Amino acid sequence: MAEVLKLLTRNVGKANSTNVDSYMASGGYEPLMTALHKMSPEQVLGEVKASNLKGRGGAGFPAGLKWSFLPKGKDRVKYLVCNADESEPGTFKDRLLIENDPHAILEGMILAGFATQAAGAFFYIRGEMPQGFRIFQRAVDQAYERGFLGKNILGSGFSFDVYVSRGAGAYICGEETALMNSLEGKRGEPRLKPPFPAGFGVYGQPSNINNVETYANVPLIIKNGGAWYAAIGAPSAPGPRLYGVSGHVKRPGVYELPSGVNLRELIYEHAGGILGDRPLKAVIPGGSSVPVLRADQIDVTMDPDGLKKVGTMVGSAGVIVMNDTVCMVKAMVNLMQFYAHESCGQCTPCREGTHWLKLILQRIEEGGGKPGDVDLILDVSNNIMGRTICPLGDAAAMPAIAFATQFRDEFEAHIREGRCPMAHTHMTVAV
Amino acid sequence: MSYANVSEMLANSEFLAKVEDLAKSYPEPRTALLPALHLCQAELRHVPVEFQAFIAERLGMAPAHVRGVVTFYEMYSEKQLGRYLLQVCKTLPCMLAGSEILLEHLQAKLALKPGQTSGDGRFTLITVECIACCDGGPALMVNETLHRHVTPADADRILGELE
Repeated sequence: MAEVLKLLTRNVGKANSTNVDSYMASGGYEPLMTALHKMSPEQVLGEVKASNLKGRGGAGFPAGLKWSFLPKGKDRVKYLVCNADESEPGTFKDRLLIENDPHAILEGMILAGFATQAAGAFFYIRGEMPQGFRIFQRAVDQAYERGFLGKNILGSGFSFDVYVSRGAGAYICGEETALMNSLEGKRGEPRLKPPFPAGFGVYGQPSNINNVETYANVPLIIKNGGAWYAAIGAPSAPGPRLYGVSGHVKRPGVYELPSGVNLRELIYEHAGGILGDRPLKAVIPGGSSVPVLRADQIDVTMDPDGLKKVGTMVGSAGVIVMNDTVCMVKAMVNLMQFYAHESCGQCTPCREGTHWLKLILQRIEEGGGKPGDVDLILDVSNNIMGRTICPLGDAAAMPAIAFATQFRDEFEAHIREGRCPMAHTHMTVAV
Repeated sequence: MSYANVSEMLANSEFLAKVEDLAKSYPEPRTALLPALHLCQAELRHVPVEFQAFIAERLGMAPAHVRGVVTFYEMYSEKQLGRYLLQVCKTLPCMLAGSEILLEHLQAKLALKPGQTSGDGRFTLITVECIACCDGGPALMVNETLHRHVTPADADRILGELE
């Protein structure tokens, strides 16, 4: 069994863990001091590249490579963004870091700022996390007081500011360019790319955006070296990883384990197994936007290569577990309601497609399914895929295709019988 | 709520100073729009058109732009909400943990449907999409306070402790 790690979660559960003194007492901000006094920006970037740190927001892009897309030098004002708009259903790991260890995220942002010679960074936290907003703002205030932010940080000549901003209830703002529009006081509608944020981001300036957990890894990398980091877990996407397990398990929660942990082990060992000791039915392994797995497909490693073998992705590593009491049509109705509600409406395939998927699925669940409906779901989904400005359309279509394909028999049974074959109306713990 | 209405709020020097602080908190004032709307929503429990016009003028935007923003984001309301905003997460992980039972209980107890405000202006009941508390489902937010694993009995206790 993989050993539970205490790297990203090293300060979780400690007294006053959000306080700067507490953070510094356990070696916090030492990596920043090392970087500012003993390393060049290029060396910091080099360590992050050597670590092979992959983004933890869902797309898994190499962080160091992404940073290197920003123009060099200080000719143009450059900004970083920390995406704390955690909204992907099944994902709740960033909340843990924000509420327990804000300085680790902040230190990662300052290190990234030094490596890229950025002028400042925005911390964009979702509006529904008021406590996290206050905790992070206080961490920023403390960092200014101690000279870790502001002009000429620790006498190094490097200056860096951090601005904290809140979202206001829009899943789409987790998309990088929608988030940037939101920061500019606009509706959170994604931008057409190119231009990419590295050339034209916040206020039209070169910008780089990373997820909360991605930044939180950076102090670890600078402290221990890129090679140390690259040796943890799965080589293709190394490092410690925060797995969120929710749904029908005995111990839902966030588990820090090496990347590439076995999915069955995660569910049955770490998360305690299936609620009510009932049979497992389905698992969404990486947040609601990735294809769902059947119970017989979970002997896989939670890394890009392992999950690719079963046609899905690691995404945000938010694992949603469903036991045999779950109606898969109803589960999919729930998710399609989510995407239809959260579509920004700019692109017709997404705006109309998610809405129609929701309506068709509701009709099937309520007993009004027609022969050919499953193919209709697949057709609508395939006409969303790849035809929108941002990935929200794909994020809705991928699970739609997977649900309708992996559990086709159950969908057909609904249509044939003209009702939901499950005995109960509520989807609940049903122990 | 600290102000009787939007006119009183916009005439209050303390409130205006808060708006000025926000406008100066970011590299460009336009970034202060969402925070300013949050401020208004918190004070008045809605964002009336009078405030939209005021903040548009202060930040150099068209009122129509501000209205577009207000109506885009879920957390701003043009209609006044109740003193307690009850937000039931209804997305899949919370549904798997029993959010339907919680919602039905609250609907029956308060005689409200999602989106409705009680006649005395005390409660507004709404459903929300995933609030990143999937291991604590069913999750209920009451204004800014998050409650985890909320059973109907817990909901009765939580509501009973409100003013």
